Amino acid sequence: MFDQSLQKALHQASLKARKNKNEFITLEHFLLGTLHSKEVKKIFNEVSADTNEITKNLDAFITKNHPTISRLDSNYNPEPTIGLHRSIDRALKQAQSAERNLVTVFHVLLAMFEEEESYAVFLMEEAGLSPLVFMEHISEGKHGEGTQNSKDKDPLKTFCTHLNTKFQKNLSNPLIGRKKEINRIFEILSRKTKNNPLLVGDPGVGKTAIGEGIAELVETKKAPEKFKNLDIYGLDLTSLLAGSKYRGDFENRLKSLFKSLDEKENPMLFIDEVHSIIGAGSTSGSNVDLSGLLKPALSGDHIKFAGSTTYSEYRKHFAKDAALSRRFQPVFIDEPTKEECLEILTGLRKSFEDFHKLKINDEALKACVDLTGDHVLDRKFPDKAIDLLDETCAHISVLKKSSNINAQDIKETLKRLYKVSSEAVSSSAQDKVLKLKTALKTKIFGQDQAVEKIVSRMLVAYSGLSHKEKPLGAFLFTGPTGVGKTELSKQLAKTLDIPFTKFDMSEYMEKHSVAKLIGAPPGYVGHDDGGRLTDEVSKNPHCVLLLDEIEKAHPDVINVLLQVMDSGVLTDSLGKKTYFKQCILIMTSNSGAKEAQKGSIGIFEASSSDFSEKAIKNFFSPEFLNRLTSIVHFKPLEKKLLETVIEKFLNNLKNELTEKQISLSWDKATVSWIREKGEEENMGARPFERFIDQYVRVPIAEKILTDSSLKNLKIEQNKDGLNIVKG
Amino acid sequence: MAQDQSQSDLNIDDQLKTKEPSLYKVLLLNDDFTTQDFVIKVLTQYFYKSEDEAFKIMVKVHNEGKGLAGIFTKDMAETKMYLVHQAAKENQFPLKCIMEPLEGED
Repeated sequence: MFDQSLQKALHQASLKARKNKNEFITLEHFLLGTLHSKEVKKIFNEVSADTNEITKNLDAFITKNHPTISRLDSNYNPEPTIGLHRSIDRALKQAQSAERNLVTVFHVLLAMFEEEESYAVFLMEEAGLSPLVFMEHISEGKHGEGTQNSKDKDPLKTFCTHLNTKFQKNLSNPLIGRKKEINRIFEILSRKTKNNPLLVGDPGVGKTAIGEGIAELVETKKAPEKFKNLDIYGLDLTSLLAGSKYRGDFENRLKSLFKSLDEKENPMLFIDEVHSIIGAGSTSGSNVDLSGLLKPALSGDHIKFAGSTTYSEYRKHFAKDAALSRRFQPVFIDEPTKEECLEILTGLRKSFEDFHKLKINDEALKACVDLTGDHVLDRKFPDKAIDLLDETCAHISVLKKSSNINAQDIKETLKRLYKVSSEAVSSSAQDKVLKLKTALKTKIFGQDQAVEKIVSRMLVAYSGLSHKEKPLGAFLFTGPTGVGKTELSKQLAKTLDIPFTKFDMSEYMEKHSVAKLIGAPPGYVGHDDGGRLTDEVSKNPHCVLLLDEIEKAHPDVINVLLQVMDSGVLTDSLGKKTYFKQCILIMTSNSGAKEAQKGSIGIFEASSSDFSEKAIKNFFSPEFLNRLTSIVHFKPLEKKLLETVIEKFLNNLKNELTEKQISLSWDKATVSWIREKGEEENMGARPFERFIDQYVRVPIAEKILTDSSLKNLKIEQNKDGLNIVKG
Repeated sequence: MAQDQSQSDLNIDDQLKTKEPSLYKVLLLNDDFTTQDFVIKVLTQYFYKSEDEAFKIMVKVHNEGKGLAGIFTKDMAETKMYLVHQAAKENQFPLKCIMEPLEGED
């Protein structure tokens, strides 16, 4: 095998020959090619040879003695001469007999010396180079041979980390608690056969930490008598697989690894993510992979094995190979309790303090555990608590604001990271809720009773007294059309400064539309996409969720909401759980509107809310109605409020025009006229919007387009209609 | 330790050889079987002679027993010889050529 320097030199020689349209690549071409390499130039300089002079001479020689054959076309590839062939052969043989894998440019230069009457050799000798120079250079072994030859490398050092020494160097995390699990592990290790514990647990509960913790116990002499000289090695699967060039190379490595392990007195091999051994290292032809190679060793009693994996990987891969799983004894690692987690954090505190150069006080640690326990529900202790602590420390150390971490910092990081606000997290939120009532009343007219219901519920939620699992509120808004149901939801979100998500239930009228919300079942197209509803809520856990026109949705869709309202959890098709604890769920419905419009039959004048109630009870199932926080009836707009509504629409228009730097004004007579002309029975506020659109916006638009220097407008009312004049 | 190579020869050569390497003549030799056409072909294809030149040299080979095909460095000469011998073998002719050092310097 030619090394890079030789390949490069040959390439350069070939290029030169081609350029000159020479027939052959001669020794002179080759010498010229080698002089391109820095290393060769260095050797020449060491004997005070002038490489430029040599190059010039070679060039001249080639031009003089190697004729340019114009007949040769551009595709002609010059071949090496016999002399060059011979030199390369000689070099190869020399390298082979010295058991070297690589032939370098120096080997060939050395071999050239045996060519007789070669101008290239003549030049080299003139310059002061002798075969000895090259021989010495090669023997200095400057051409990275060692890395190829891994025969003398200790496989334990190459493929494993010695966890005992890792602990000695203080590089591993301390193990705190977990007494029960550790005892069970030592029990399994004390068995005669199949003494291989398998740590199974959710991601982030501390399986790898327990593996390193066993090394800690051994080193601090706290392990049982039998194991006081236990040597624990963590297997690095990637380095075992990397660079296996040919069939059997991987198996060889493994064999040498086992041999080295066997020589130790009390060896143990810890394989993290042990499910990855299934399928590892198998070439396309053979059936044997790493797990197959391990099986005999697993049944032996000298080397102990331990592995860690998660539940889902265990189920998916491990359990399928019964021969492999019977050789392991599972130890189930559960999530630690809050108290245990707090102990763990306290134990880790010092290392975090040292690393970030900050001080962490006790309340901060407690806040980590409590807050993540309440709000971060898709991850496990202690991983999420440690994560929150680490993030807070990183944030503070980057901002360099202070050198102390307290509970407040933790809360803020939680809000920033997980977009979740713990109740009463900041005074600004409390202010918002107190001002909620007044703010909403300025935007929504004539629905005081509804506003009050909402606000009282929000007060409960934000004070921290609401149920921990259910959504902050589940409301059903009923009433005639155009009275402000959707508007109230929007304004609620705006005032509380939380995101507003709307789902129009008229898109979910069919049975299979449930798949759109929570994801398609396995096997259906779009299974991996997840559901819109779960996606939106997991992105913004604290939001106002509006489901508009809920009576249009298919009953099956409504049934999905049942468990949302009860336990606040929705599981999508991928199994991911989304928590609705921080959502304000609002559903709007027009049930009963039609009946109310028709009017009552009989003597008693029924109010619209009675109609709504009856219709709702007929349409929705009792279990749905039972789970609502409250049903809020929206009354039809009273006549005296209509003018306020019209003013509001005109104000909206005014704001839009202010952006264009045009001012708008009107008088009371205009408003009354709009009310008289635009009113439609039982249609709520929308008719006025349409009316204003037609009679005010359109003329204004005309004016804007015709006259670009418009500044002031006034709406006037005369007997024909409305006029827009410059005012 | 490397196996024994003929290093001693090299050393002697080293001390002796400081003269510039000489060029070599490649001569084609006559024989009873190689056709004239083939000789011309060899001369034009491998020695890049024109048709006229090739004919002249071929006549020389035929009449005098050997003819000059070209002058090259030793390496090139060797290679050319090899090519000629290969071509001859392929075409079932016993055509041979030799190389001689050029007398004197040019």
